[in-house]
Amino acid sequence: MSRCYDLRPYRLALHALTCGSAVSKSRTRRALIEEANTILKFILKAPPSSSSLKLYVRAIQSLRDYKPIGLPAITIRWPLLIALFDTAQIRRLVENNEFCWRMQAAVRIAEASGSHQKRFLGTPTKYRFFRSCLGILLALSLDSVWQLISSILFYLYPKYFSLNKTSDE
Amino acid sequence: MSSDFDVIIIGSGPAGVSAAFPLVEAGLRVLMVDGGERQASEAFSEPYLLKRQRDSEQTDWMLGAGLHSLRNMAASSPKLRIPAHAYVFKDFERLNKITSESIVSIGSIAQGGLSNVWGCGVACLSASQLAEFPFRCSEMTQSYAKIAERMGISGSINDDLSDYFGLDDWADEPIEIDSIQRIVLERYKKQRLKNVNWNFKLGRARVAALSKDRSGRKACNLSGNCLWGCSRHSLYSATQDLASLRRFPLFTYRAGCIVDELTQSGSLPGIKIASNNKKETIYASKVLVGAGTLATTRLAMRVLKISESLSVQSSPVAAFMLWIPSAMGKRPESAFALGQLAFTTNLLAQEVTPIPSVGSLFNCSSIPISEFTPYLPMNSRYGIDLLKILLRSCVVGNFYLPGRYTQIEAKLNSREELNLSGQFHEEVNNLMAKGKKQLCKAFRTLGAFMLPGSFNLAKPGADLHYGASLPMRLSPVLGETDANGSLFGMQNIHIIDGASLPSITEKPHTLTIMANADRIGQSIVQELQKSIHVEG
Repeated sequence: MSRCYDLRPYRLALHALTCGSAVSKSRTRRALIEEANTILKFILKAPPSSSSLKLYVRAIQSLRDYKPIGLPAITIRWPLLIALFDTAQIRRLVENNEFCWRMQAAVRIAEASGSHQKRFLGTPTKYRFFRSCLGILLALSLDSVWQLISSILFYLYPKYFSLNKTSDE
Repeated sequence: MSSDFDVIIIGSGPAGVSAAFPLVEAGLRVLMVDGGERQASEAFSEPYLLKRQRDSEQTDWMLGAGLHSLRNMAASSPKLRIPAHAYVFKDFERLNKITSESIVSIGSIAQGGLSNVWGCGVACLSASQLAEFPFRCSEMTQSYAKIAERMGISGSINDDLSDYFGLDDWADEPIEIDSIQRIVLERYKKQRLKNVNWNFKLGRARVAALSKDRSGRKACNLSGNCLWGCSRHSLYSATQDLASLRRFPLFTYRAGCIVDELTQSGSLPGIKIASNNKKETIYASKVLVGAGTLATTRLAMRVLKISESLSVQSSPVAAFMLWIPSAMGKRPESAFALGQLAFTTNLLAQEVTPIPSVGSLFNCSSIPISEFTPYLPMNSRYGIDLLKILLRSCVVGNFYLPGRYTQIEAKLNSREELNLSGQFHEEVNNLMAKGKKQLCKAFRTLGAFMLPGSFNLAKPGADLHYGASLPMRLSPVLGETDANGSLFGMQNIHIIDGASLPSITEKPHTLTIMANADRIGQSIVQELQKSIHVEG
């Protein structure tokens, strides 16, 4: 027995180790879940709820073309690195239209989720004036840092910033 | 040929119900038909912010079971993404056979039409604006008063916009203002002279929302649910009037009927409807068309067999965001989410006379953050961090120009579909840039700063204020109507919605459509009673 074909009489099917041991053999679905986890984790700054993940996958399956967008493996390991792609400059690239749609959809899904409302509403208490100013300053500064890194990397390695969809399984 | 009804009214929106009241009150037999779409679920009563904090199932009403919000992500207005309002816009273009290129074309086949989702802005046209109408100004004044009394208007206060809105005699006191907009208003009172010299006036918005209980409807309780559906029915919707009309014994309402064609047999006009897969023709002494400007235009063009294009007007509109630093650190506040403050400016352009423009300011605590993130030049992660803090001290504004600055061409194609195409007048960008500059300057003196990049011009047609495609004229020609909205070239077919207005001004025009429909309704009563008397 040296080939996948040899296992057929025994009704056994091989699938790649990266697909895991889930009953679903769909590599595409698994990749979509990974994509959902990465993008939602980036937005939420916390692990997303399973319902948000399912909703994202359902949205891509029913409204788009089912395929994962092909996020670089490094972003799947460190979702914060999505910040390199989610800048005004990179979003303007025509080939990244789909990425833009998915980011916007993910923000809507995250905000609509009953588990992550604090991320969007904040605490119902009063924010002090200086705390508010600090919060705004911090958000703008962090964004500027990532914009700067993204611009430099885009200048050096433009081809890595084009997020094309991966082929179907 | 005899008719079962004296009058058939197409559409149950603000125009349809306003024309119906004088007819049924005079004892005429009235049939009203519409597409009949209705809201599937009741609006929630809990305040928006509380519901957001507590409801673990909020995905259902924020995104919708069928992912309605995501399906409509590219739509021009947040209203089009609210799942609870999906029924309002459903199937309008398909069933009315309307196609569009480069412009937004929106209408409704629902009970009550677009009034289910409107911004409730109301205003009377001034005497100089009414001079364009082919009848005496006083006729409209009576109808304005009658309609305002019926629908319930708030915002009456002696301020710089009293004359501009012109309806304080019939309006109740304003709904409580939120703390952010109060800061702006108080500063305006101190800086008033400087702003008035710059042609900028600020005051309370006049809205068709209740500040006092009225005939079964409850006053606004500042729940912030305006955008999501008001369970107290504080906001006016024509469905409330439809319920009143259905109590009249001679009033018949048929839902689920899409009128495909107007017809005429001798002097009797009729409608061809498709209902439950059955085609039917119904005749009456009069047919009043209030299907919404776009659908009405198609019906009129078909019956008149107009092959040339007709022009439709629509107000160019821009949205912007103001930041009020002195409101920083405030806790989120549940507030009335439609226009609280309004402003007017006059823009000087190539034309000799200044161009009037108007806008409103809105509390944004009940608008999801995801409505703003696409416009931020930041990444989503830090954009959310920023907006979460910043929105507590921001208000959203809109800014309208007169409808003549959008040039929409409506033309029937070989499949009898109405094709809409168009663009803004070439001067719009210039006017909007001037408006932006003027607003920045005026609001800066009030301690409010327009956020960079937040002033965005919406696509042509996005304001939904379509009209003037079959304008009323003293001596109408083909494609126009007379003072009673009677379609030139046809007998007893009257246009009662925005299509028959002579022009679209910068002001909200729903109240004017309703007053005009009421006026036409009254004149039809006189006409029919006279003919019955002669026959008798």
